[in-house]
Amino acid sequence: MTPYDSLPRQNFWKASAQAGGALEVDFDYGRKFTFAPADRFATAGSCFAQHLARHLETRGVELLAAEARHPLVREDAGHGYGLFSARYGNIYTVRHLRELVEQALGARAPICEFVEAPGGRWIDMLRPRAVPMGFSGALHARADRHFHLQAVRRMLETLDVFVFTLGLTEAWENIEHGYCYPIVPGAIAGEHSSRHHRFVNYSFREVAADLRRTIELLSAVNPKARVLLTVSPVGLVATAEPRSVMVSTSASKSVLRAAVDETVREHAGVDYFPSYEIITGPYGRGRYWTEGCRDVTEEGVRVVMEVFARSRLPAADQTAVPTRSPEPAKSATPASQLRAALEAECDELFLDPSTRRR
Amino acid sequence: MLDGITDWRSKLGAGAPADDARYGPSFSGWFQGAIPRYPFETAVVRGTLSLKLVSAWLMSPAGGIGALVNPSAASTAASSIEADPEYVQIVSSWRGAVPIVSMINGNEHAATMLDQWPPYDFLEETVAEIAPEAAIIDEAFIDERIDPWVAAIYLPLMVLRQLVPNPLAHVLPPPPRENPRSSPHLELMGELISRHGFAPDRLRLKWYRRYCRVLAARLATIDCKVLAAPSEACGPNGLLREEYAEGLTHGNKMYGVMTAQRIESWLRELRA
Repeated sequence: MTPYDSLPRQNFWKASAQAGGALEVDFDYGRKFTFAPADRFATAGSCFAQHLARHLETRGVELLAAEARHPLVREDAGHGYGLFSARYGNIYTVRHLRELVEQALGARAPICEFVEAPGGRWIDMLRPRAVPMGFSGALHARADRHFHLQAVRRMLETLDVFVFTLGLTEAWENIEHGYCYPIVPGAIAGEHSSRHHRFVNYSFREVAADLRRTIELLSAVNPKARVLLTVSPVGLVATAEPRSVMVSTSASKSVLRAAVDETVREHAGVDYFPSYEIITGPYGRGRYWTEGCRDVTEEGVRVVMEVFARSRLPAADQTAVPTRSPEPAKSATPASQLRAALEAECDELFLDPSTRRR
Repeated sequence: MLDGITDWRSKLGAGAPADDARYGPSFSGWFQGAIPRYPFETAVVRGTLSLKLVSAWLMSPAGGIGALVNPSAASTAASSIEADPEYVQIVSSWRGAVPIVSMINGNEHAATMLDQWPPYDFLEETVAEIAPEAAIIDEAFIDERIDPWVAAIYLPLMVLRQLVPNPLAHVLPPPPRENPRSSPHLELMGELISRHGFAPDRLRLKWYRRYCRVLAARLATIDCKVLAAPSEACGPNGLLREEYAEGLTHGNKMYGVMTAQRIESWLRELRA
């Protein structure tokens, strides 16, 4: 007997992998909490968070709209409302989130960096694509930024669940003031200058510290708030490190995933949802990737949301697949004999009682 | 203005008091058909030094005057404008050196007095104050609202300008009233006011100022002088002083006299 013997099937790879499909694998086993129908969700993060928000809404989840389109703003204008709970656009790094939360809660002065785009409209460098139509001038951009930060504060104070999808560790910072940009200046607006901008690749320690600080700030204004972290499976478009983007993607996601793990262990009100594993894990056999192998297919997002709904939303509880006992292999075909031989090289497999029984 | 400087009502039998409590005295006869359909002349009897005679064309709804141009506001493309034949005929008859003063339309901005939207604000260069917790609306959306109001004045005057070369001025409407709650006459707004209440002074003034600025810029393109509201009628906050207000959106007789004096100044400038 070992401590593993009494563990449920979800603790074992083979038993999990024997499930009939992704929806039968209990990816979210070990969750800390589920959600009530009345819970108000706020979402933020990388572009994968947009998919989550869209699907949450279709499942009847109340997405907090702390910053909604005003009736005087034409519906078909590039106003940027409705993608997230407030008009902050994609937040790829935890540092960016931390700085946004600090500004919104008055822990640091508002960061106001605006540039004039070629068409004469003005862009907020801290959310260059969040307001596609831009602003009429620097004064307008500044006034809107203050309004935006108030909206973020309202969001933090009133949300029940904050879903944040961590996307990147690589970012660019303003050298003089040390703040973080969502995207390198010059890519969408502004101009890159090595005198003003520096590349950073946040370490595990920095990401974990930023998460900790963000959660502390949120808890201070909203002690009942729960945080659900996810890691975006979407790979880096490019890396500024002198190495392959494939390697940087792996490094970046590993750092984020590890920082999330540590944070979840530290805070009772913080949990992780394994959308990253659902998409990138070998169980998916790569079928959730679009042709370029970087983006997630709609089917992948749908599966993630289905797992989420079954596991976390009470209305879906009844449809959740009941836990099954692991079953030993029934036949010993040549292929399975070969697999068994290969698996036998891995001692760790012996931690799995079903393997030992065989 | 005519009430302030002429006795036109008694001469034309248009002095019957308004039979509708929603309207103030300047609306006497306005809806009863007492206003003549065509221009009439009336002597200036008080309030100004040099004005002696006014030829006035009051376009009351009861007088059967419809839209001066069609479309009345949807487009500013000159080629698509169709002017009312009667308007063309009358305006053409004014060809010459006689100055023309327009007071057509102008209080369309009054709808913005209602507090009908979630908190908002917008930038207007003549009003520095910004609400701290309001959505900041892009001026482009504000201008989209204002454009039809501007067109309702600009298009008829553009047609006029194409017809005659006379000196032309347009009198801007009075600014929003300092205390609209004190108005005994709510015109057509009573039900809406009870439902929404009044927008903050800051917003009412901003809408008015921006509307006036956009209109002035547009009228400048057709060589039309714009006569602003008399500054002495405005309080320190830029709103219309109560003692010069009538109803929700109009000036009273005293305001009319000041407007006439403003016109008189313009005429002196023309002569100089």
